[in-house]
Amino acid sequence: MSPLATSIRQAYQDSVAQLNGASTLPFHVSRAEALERFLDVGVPTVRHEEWKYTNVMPLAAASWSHNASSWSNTAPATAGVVLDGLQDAIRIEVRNGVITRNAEDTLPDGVTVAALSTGNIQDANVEQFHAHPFAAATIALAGEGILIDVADGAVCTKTIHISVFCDAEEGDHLTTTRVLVRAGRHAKVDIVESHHTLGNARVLDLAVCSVLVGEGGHVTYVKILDDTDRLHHLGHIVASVDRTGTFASHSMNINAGFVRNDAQVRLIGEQSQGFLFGVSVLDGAQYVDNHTVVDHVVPHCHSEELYKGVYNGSSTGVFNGKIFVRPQAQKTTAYQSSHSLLLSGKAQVNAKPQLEIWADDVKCSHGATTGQLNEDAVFYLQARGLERSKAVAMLTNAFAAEVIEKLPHAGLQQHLLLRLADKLGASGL
Amino acid sequence: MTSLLEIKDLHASIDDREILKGINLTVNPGEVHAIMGPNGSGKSTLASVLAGKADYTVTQGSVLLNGNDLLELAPEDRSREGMFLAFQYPVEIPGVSTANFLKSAVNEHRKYRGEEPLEPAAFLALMKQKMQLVEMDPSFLQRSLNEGFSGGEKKRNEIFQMAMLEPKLAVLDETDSGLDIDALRIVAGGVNALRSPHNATVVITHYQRLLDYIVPDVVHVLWNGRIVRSGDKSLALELEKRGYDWIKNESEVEA
Ligand SMILES: Nc1ncnc2c1ncn2[C@@H]1O[C@H](COP(=O)(O)OP(=O)(O)O)[C@@H](O)[C@H]1O
Ligand SMILES: [Mg+2]
Repeated sequence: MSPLATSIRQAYQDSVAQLNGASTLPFHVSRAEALERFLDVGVPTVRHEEWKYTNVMPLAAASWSHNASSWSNTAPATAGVVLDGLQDAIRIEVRNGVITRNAEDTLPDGVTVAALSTGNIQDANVEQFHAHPFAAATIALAGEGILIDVADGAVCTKTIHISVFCDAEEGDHLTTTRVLVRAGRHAKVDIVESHHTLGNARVLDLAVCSVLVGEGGHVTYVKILDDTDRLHHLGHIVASVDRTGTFASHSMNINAGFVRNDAQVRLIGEQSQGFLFGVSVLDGAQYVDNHTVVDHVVPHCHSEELYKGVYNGSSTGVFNGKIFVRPQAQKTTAYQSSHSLLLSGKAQVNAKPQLEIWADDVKCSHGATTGQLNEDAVFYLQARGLERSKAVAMLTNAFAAEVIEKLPHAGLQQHLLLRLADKLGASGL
Repeated sequence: MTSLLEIKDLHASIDDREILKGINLTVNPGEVHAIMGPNGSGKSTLASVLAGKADYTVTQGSVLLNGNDLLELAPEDRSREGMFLAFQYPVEIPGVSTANFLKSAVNEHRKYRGEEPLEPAAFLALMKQKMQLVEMDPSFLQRSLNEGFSGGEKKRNEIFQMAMLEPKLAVLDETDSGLDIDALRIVAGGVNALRSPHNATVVITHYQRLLDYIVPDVVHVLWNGRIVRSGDKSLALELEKRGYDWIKNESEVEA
């Protein structure tokens, strides 16, 4: 067993030893099941089809501590990270898997936020998580978990912002976060999840998020990774969408050392819609793997995917996009595209669309492009007085902006565009 | 009086193939020069070399703009020093609005001169005023630069940019190609309105049609990488009548 797998099993045993009889709660029963599923497969190697490009062996070779109270010396009790554009959001903070701030008093009618450990853990997506070794490990080790419940007909007018802090002074630190969002019939909610390291430890940040969208419901889920190279993130988000419901995932990977983002949307009710958007901006030796699945289970559903990546330095990107159209899912429309911009000769990208279509009356398309910056465009801007680095930043921003502009928050769009410009400006092209 | 542009014995190659084979050209403030010549003779290459396109290697000769060595400068500094190229094929740039692009360009020029950036309101007013010069609709400002513009709209946009940047030396590369007669008149009107005793214009074209509207002081014929003949505007009319073969045949005899 790899040191990482041993760490995960040990962390599980340590935490169960502290439960004092609570281990029969459904939440903890689900953890035990998930651990079994993780141990069945263990840490995947590159021989595993879904992990062909994403080599987690360097992470698997280390032993990781998973101590919820290993807070770093410097960090304040409430980190209070407020992202520009989200000043008005309802703020929830989780630190090392434990909820450290839960602003229940500010919640609109019909919206509740609670620890998942004591709540209703019914989760129709659990099989998807069990099938993914790191998602299973996350559930096995989830400290409390967060449950966001939006009742039938309730509209959460403010964005809910979950800040996830991975906090340890030094060494190799493992954090696990589990979120479950249940949006009732015609319920509406926008959620932003941002990940941050505190202290100086190298961090393995595992996260799962399950979203259940009821009939006519509308959920957007934004994940922002904008930290340091110490952040190694493996996240899995799965959404099931009922009749006429809509789900949109926005994955904003601005700065992190290593990222594997799985996003799945299951269209299980007719006329439901799923949108998967992603932007990644990498430099140095950064790595990203966006792994998506869109599953058209029933007829008359619509899905759209747009992923864009900007690769500088010797960074690497992977896009793997599966679309399933089940035999009964006639009148499906499913569109997928991924575009990569290589700013350096040493950067590389693998894009692999996989369409499995068993229905005949459908409209599906996919497109993947990988290109360099248009040098004629760079020269055009230079010839008007912009220095090369500004010209490159302007063109690259324009490339990524198409995805950022899909975000439902104008303020957050501005913030991310500026962060993007900062990063591209700093890379000194 | 220093000349505005002084090109001496300019040779330039691309991929080891010599395209410019010894260009000499002097342009004084207030003048309009036309450079004519058949396709492939090196006109756009000359324009690109002046603007600083990296694909071309200058192997010999010198270029002075206002007495300064132009070839030493990066493309952006050439622009800031007053060189402007209206491209034969303006590039489409999705996602960058014309307004944002021009704001950056104008403010870079201002910074170079030690001036503060323009206030947004003043900048918008300036853009609207300059757009009128080429009868461009303000709705173009929010559109992506050149994206989906018709040929004529692209050319007008070039002249609009020229009006915003107020260059000392404008090189217009086939700004007339693809324009109908009304668009031609509008573009030429814009160029003429920007003329002053302190700046100069080099008009590259292979039809004399444009020169009815932008009347040149000197006409040069570029053929096979060299200026093989210069004269007054009557040279353009003669070319129109006799075609380029006349020049080709003569210069081959000379060579
Ligand atoms: N990027 C390039 N690569 C290779 N050859 C080029 C390139 N640009 C121009 N040339 C060649 O240089 C010669 C002059 O071209 P150009 O300057 O575009 O002529 P003109 O503008 O007078 O029509 C032509 O033979 C053309 O094929
Ligand atoms: Mg040409």
